[in-house]
Amino acid sequence: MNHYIAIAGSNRQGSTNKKLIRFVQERYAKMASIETVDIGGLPVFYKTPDRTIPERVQEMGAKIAEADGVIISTPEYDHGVPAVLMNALEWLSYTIHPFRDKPVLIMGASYGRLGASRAQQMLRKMLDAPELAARLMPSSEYMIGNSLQSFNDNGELTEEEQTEILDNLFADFETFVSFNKGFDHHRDEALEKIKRLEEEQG
Amino acid sequence: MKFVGIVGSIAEDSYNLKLMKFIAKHYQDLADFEILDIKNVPIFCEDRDITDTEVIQNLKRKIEAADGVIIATPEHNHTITAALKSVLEWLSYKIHPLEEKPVMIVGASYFTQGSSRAQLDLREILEAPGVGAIVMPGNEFLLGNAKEAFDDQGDLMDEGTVTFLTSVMKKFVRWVNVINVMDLIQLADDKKEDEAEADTVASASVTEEEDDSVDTNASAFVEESDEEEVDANASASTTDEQTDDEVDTDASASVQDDADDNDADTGASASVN
Repeated sequence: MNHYIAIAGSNRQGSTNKKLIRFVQERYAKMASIETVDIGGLPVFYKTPDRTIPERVQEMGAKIAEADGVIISTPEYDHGVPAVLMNALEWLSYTIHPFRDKPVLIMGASYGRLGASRAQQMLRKMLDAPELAARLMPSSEYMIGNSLQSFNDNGELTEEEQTEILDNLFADFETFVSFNKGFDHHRDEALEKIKRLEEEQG
Repeated sequence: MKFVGIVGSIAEDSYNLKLMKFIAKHYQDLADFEILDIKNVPIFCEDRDITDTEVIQNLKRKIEAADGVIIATPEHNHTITAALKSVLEWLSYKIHPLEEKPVMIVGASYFTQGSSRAQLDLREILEAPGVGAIVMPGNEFLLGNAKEAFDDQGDLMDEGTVTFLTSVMKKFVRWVNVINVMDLIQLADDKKEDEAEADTVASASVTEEEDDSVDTNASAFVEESDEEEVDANASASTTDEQTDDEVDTDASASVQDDADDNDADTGASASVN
């Protein structure tokens, strides 16, 4: 069974992104062990002159590094990723790099119709940056618009079609994670081959 | 003219802070500058709303009182910093002091990018409905290799860089003037609309009294309206002339500024092109 860390990019109690993460966690509980991590309450990031980071960040980093993958659900504030999530990612890419080569699945929920589409794009770009260097599942988006009406009292998605799409997405992610496990080995082999061929050519 | 500066880094040894301080010092002849302190702004959280506290209200007051805002942004993870995003979230949640405010963007970075990607993201964020800033287009000032860019006094060493920055600053002054004129035109338009509405209401009530038939009503109304339109047009053109005079005054004022400035020789001609 794979082990995933799940992060909702919100520090709000009534967050629908937290609802979505909880739904994912419960629906696939028998398929994967999914642990949520809270990213609220961190100090505002700046490059500390002595290169120290808060202990909570160290702990988060360790959990992420150990996990087989990370699932992030992001809201959208002002056409972008909320500062609380940006802040966590800044700390998690300063002197430690737990996201490096880590498979990540992005999703999002919004009150309006757009389903946090622009925030998801921005998040993808951030995770792609060298200091994070995560492995993003290609061409995947999952948008829950009108999120206030999207969940029932049990915290389940009300629309069957959305649940079906999520099942497909999760299956893709499981596949992506298993492919990723052989990645480093194949990459090392390829690098050695390049060097060997260069030597042979003299 | 009064500008405020926001630096997207809360670190003491930030190169974006250095850049902002240089701008504040070097362009004193263009405007009064104040660099706003964002060190004590916590990460935005709706559940812990601090909009009414002095930290946020102070930012609100200073921004509202300023003619323009300059933002210097670093680049972290290919985008702006959480510190800056958090401030913008506080300023777009229950209060909106950046709405219709002229804004200019600059940025510095250690290596070659000069915060290029952060600046693009910042434009998008500033234009989001809750923020609503009026960002000066183009004129990208990207300061790469920031560690080698400043001397011991904190001045930018490269002449070409300073020349370009000067042209951008002068354009921003003109940009601020243009936005102010837009406000005046808006006020004049609103006034004209109110007057035209009042007149149309008066003519409609006269038509109803005279005739019962719908068709005759319509044509009568149209005739009345045409007259009113002519009158409205006359008053509108008067207003436009007034506004045009104001535009001309501002344009000549900025030309005057260029001519008087000693730095103008290379700076002004570059911006005119």
